[in-house]
Amino acid sequence: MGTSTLLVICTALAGLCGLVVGYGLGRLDWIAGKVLTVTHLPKAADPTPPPLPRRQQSLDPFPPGWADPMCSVSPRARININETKFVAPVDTGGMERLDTNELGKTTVTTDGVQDAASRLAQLKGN
Amino acid sequence: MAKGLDVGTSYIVLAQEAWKTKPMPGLSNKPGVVATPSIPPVAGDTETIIEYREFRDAFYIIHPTTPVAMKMIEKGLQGKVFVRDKDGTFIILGQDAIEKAIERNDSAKRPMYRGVVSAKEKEAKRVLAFILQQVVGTAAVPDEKLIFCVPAQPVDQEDDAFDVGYHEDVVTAILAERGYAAKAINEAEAVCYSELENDDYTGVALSCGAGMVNCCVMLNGEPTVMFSTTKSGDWIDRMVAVAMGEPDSAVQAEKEHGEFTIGQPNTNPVLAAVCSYYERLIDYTTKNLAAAMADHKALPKFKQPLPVVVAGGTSQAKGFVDLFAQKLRENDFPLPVKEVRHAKDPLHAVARGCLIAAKIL
Repeated sequence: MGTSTLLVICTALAGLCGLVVGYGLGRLDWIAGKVLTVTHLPKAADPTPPPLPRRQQSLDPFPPGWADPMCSVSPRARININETKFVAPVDTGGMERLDTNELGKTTVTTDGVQDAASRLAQLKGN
Repeated sequence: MAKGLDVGTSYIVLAQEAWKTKPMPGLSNKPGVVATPSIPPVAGDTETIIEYREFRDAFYIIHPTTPVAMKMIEKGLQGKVFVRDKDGTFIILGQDAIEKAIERNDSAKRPMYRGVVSAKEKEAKRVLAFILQQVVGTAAVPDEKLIFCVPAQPVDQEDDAFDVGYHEDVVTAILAERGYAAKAINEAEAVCYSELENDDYTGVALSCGAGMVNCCVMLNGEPTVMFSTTKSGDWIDRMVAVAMGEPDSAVQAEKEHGEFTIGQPNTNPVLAAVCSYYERLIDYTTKNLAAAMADHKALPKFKQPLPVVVAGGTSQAKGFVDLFAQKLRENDFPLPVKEVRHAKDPLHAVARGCLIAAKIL
């Protein structure tokens, strides 16, 4: 095998490599897409919606899918959130009572509530 | 110590336990002397009683135009419950406010509307805070337990048009300032606690207040279904006022002091209109009750017929309970009913129920 034959083979191989590299460069975006899709495929059965932005989360006390078992009752009534800290004290400053009259009417009954409270506590398991 | 508080649209009622000394033979102590409610007796011959303090939830503002007018108005208000505000206006409170409004052919204002702090009145929150502070006083001990009532979500109004959350927070904050650890329960739930003791705390209770009708279905002390409707006593006053061309306060006074029986003719045109609208209100309420409960998923399957207890100021009209029972039957109320009865003390039932809850919660 002469030098010229070796040169032809080397040139052919270089051309072939060039073709492969060129094709690869041409499909680079496709290859990158394939690789990323495979590595970041989401779990098929994950129903959890994406988390809310932080500010929205802080404003929404009821998670997605929250259901009210009692239908028409305000959900706020049964969720133990200490919200009173957000309500400023009501300012009654400057209101000055000028009379000494009895405020409203006072009545007295003898039907105590201790028995009723004990019975109710028993039912509620307190 | 514990207290119960009915924060109603028309009345604020405080319930607390007190002690009465019994007459002792040979001693000079008189019966009926009420001990300081906050301090339980250590020993001795005393009996427990319940003390109710009720105050009309209304106010009327008078703006004096000159310093002389201010002095004259202040003199004219002797004998009435009133305050002077920082801008020099006079705010008459309670029943006196209604009477003064009628004198001036006007209507008194309300710090509450349909069971919650009124968004219609600018001064509502301040006036409500002042009235509550005056009625409940300061806690006897730090973090004294106090249960107050709030309405349920209405079934005849869109959810976003009504919410009790802010009202609940405002009242809790006002009471916290006076040293109370306050918590809210539903108004009709409180009536259940007050009236269903002999029924194993199982039945239906309705609180027919001024602003709303609240309903609670209870099973062995646990509230299972709670809701409200938005027409009640104030709606009657408004409709009659429109029909007769009278101020609401005048209609309210006529309704509360006039003689009438629902379902019977009346020669007084205002009271005749009141009867007419009472019938419409009862029909409307029972239809809404039936519709709301018909397919309710949380409704237990009751085997025994249930007692239905009706409380609240609006239920005090003669013939109310009878017509209510009749309309429940006619409008296909879905639960078996043993009886429809009036609360023992319709005006104080909610406050009493709150007091019972305060003793166990």
